[in-house]
Amino acid sequence: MTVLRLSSIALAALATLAGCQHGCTGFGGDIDGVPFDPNGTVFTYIDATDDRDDPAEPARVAVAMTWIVFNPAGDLAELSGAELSEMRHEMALRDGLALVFADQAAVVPGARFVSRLDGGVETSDEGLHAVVHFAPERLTPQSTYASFRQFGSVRTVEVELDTVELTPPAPAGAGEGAGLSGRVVIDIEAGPDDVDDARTGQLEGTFTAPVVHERPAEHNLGLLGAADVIGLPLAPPTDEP
Amino acid sequence: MTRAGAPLVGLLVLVAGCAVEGDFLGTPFAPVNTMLAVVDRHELVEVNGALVPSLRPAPAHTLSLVLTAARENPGAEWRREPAEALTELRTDLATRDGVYLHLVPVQPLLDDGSYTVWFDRDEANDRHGLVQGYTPPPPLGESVPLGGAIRLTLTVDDMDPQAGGHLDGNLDIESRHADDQFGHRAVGIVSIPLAIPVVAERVGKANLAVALPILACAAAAGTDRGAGCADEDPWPVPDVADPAHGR
Repeated sequence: MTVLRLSSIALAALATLAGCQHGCTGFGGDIDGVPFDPNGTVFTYIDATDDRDDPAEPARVAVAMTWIVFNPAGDLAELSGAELSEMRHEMALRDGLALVFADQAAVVPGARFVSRLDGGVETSDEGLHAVVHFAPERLTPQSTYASFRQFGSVRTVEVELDTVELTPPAPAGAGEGAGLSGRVVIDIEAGPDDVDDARTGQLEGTFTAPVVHERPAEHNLGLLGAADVIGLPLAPPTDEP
Repeated sequence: MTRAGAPLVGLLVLVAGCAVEGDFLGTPFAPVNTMLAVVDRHELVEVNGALVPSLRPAPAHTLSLVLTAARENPGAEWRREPAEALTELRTDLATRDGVYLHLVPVQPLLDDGSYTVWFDRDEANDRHGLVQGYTPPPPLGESVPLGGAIRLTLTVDDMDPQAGGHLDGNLDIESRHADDQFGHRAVGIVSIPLAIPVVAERVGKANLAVALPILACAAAAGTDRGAGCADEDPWPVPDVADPAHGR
């Protein structure tokens, strides 16, 4: 099993390294035949201020992985309306992943985090909130209800960080800093109430997510409508449990 | 030939290979660029929060029929069109001639061979409605509103309701003055022959989820305000990866 894990990660990494522009990721494995490919743009930003530009305590660290390719440190508002519309459209139709670490102080090399969702409800409190967005099933004239088998309801995302360098380049908009790198395992399992033939499986990948400044990152994610897809940019933290 | 002099019946308009017979007092109505026929045979039943497909009994099978002057492949998945093409489709659905019937029981249609519904245009809903396309003002054209009462009669000559089957028949669209309606109205009967495939159920229902909210909105809004309906949100399409229904 360990050999399989390592080999799938290595294959995924090899397959994707050549195409990396803004960060990089690659996932091996599948969920009962459904692959996962958010390897267009991968980046980190520190959510250090709230929506009034006041300091947010503690600062959160967000990693975004999208299928679409864009410069997260640039300004997507400079694109034509048609180009931006196309990117927003594809954003919703493609794979995506968000990893949100609740406290920047805990984001250190070697740290491990787990996020567990049961039926869409987060049941873990271990410093990580993960949003896995699978592209909607592609429907063709051959798509039948016999193939309509839902994913298992228990979703676990494990992250282990290898390197951490969260200082963005100065000045803002100057590009990307080193950021985070690590490994991600996404496990889809059947819960006790799931149907017998629920889709299950495991995805394993590595990522390199350069860090960009908060404002361009949130500005661009907002323009892409990413909040409806992977929950970024983050809403201000609340005091409610 | 003036519009007023156009014959009520017998005018043959050839659009995209489909012969539309008749007009509404000279006002053409040709929602024939795309014809989408879908038979709803399955439902997704929630069991302990999970969606499980279930074949409905035959008496519960329904037909949905969309005829529009918008141009699209009825068998392709419309929501996956490039953004520009999808925007154009949505705009055309909202502003060009269209007519739809949704959730028509199939078994009576097969037994009796026809289905008829009367409705007031301004009370169109997601079960039936009619969108009168925009016509430029004079001298380029003349926009005469249809009558307030619409009758749709679907006649089936032959039908195989399975996915990949066919629907052969006719859709008659009658425009009349409503009971309390006076003034110049485009009244008459338009007859559209149907010889169309029944689209695969899942992709067909996904396309209905795009089209019907727009058409229902535009039918209720009327020609002058229908364009705003292009932004209507599509109905949700259940997905295998939906985490909210994954248990």
